[in-house]
Amino acid sequence: MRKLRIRIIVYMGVAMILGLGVYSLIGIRAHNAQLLEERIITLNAASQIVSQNVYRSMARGQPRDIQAIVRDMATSTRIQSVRILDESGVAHFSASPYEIGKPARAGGRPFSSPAKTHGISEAPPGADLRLISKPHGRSLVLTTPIRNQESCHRCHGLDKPVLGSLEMVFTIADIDAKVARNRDRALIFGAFTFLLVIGAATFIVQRTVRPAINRLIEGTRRIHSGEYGYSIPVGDKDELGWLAQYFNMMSMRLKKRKEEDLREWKMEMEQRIRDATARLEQVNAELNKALEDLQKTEKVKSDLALVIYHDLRSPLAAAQSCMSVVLEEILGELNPRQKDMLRRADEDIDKLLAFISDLLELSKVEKRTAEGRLQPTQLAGILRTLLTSFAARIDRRNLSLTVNVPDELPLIYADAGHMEQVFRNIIGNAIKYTPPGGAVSVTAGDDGENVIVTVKDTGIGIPEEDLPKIFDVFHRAPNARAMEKVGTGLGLSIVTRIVKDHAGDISVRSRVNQGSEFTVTFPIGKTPAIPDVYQSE
Amino acid sequence: MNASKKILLVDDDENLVEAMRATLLSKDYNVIVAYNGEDGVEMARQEAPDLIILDIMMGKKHGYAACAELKKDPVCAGIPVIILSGVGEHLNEPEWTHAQGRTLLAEDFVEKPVKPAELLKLVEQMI
Repeated sequence: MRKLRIRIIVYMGVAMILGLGVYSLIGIRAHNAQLLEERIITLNAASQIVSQNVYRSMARGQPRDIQAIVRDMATSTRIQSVRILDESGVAHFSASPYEIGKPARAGGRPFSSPAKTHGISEAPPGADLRLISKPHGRSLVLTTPIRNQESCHRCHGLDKPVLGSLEMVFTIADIDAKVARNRDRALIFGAFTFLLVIGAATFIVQRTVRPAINRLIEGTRRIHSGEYGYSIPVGDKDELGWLAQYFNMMSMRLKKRKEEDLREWKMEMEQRIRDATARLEQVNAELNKALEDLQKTEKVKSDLALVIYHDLRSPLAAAQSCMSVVLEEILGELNPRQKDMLRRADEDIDKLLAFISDLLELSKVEKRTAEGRLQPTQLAGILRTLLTSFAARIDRRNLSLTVNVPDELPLIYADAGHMEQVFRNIIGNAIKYTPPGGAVSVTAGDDGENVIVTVKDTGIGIPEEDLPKIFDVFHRAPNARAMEKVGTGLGLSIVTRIVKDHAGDISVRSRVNQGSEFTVTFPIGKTPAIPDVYQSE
Repeated sequence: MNASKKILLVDDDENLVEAMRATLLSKDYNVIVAYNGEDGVEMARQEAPDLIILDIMMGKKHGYAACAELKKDPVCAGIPVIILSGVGEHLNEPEWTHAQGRTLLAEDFVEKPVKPAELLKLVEQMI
């Protein structure tokens, strides 16, 4: 702001000074020229009067009078000197008697030939007018030829057209002084005007321009900081007012533009959200459809399992029951051959029934795995319920059962149905492959990290070479085949799969004819490391 | 000597019923038959048998449901029930699990297929 003010003042000042300077110069020069002209006219007039008097005197033949004329003329204030010179430049008459007989002064010039003007146009024809500078001021020197007129012929003869010259020196110091005075006045007046203009300019800037510009600066700052729509007072209807008005218009336009941009952006965002939502809904619908399909498939599978059970196993069971009535000679005695044949048929039906049971088990494992119902599970309760259900079978086979299960075990993340299946298989095997009179023991506990369940029997054991294979699908050890013709080899592979799905471990120690010991462990209270797809609901 | 002992067989599988009937008749039991749960409960009320052998998976009324009804009935509550098992282990019945049926309702159970000797032994124990 300060800079602008100073600049405005300086520009105005310079313009003023230049203008005034030029104006004064022109005025002063014109004045000077006018004064000079007047002086020259006076000079010419005086010169003519002197010339006339000189001619008259000469015509009267009284050269002595010329000296008086010259002296009289020299008494005039403006005239510094009057001299009459001959053609060789020697003064014959002069207001100052000392100069008589002396040659012409510098600037003066004798006329031997028709003279011409020098420098100053206003000189009378044939005269020489020049401006000379002297220490006490400037002077005009007018040299007029004195021609050989008729009246002169008596004394001077006819041979020379010009007899000499009249030299008159007029001072113009007074004119110069006047001009100088005028110049000083103009300067003082200029300086005064300059000061006045500065004052006025400062006042105008201070009163009108500065507040308006300050408002503009503030407005611009606000718009720069994002405050679109900010308006400033318009004030007078001058350029500054217009500027403020245009500023306000610009501000409003920026605001509108920003709002439009915002609206566009919002609309675009909304559109995107709508698109994304639509896509999500579509995906969701597809997923629901897939889930529905999957559930349908699961239902079909589950239904199929029931159909297998009911339509395949039930008639088979009924058939075997009927055959058993005959085989056990309830309806009458059989001959050995008949009995043998029926027994063979009975065995095969047993195999079929066991196979169907195992397939159902397997389908249940798959179903449960897909459902992935993992919850904190108390293994102790499951084991006790299972052992209760085995009590009758253990009794029938005349086995002794030792149960060493605490009331509560640490919780594990598991599917309760799966757990039941695992231990039904393992305990079921122990019962199945232990000859009557043997012992089965179930022990459960934990080591701080895992829940450990051990099922031990005094059964037929597993041959060493078969140990690594017992967890394979459909593998049955030869001695197991020999003892129990019924069996598919699916049981332990189902168990292994479940245990692995629960991040657990299964191991076996066994000796033929001494017994087997199966140890199953599950991690305590951790979500088992099973595939994510099983963990989601 | 067993002629006075009345046994009610409830099962929708006619062949199995015949096998069991033949087995039981060989020991001179008095055998009466119903082919679904509803008839079974009705017959138990009317005939007041000494023992009921009850299948689980049947039309009209489920074996467990029938058993529960019988056990609630003051007339029939004292009659021992043997459940014909097999199906329960393979079904996910939320109301009537195999274990519940066994421990809370029935006196004992027989696994299908029914072996005549086992059946007779069990029946003898019960009555």
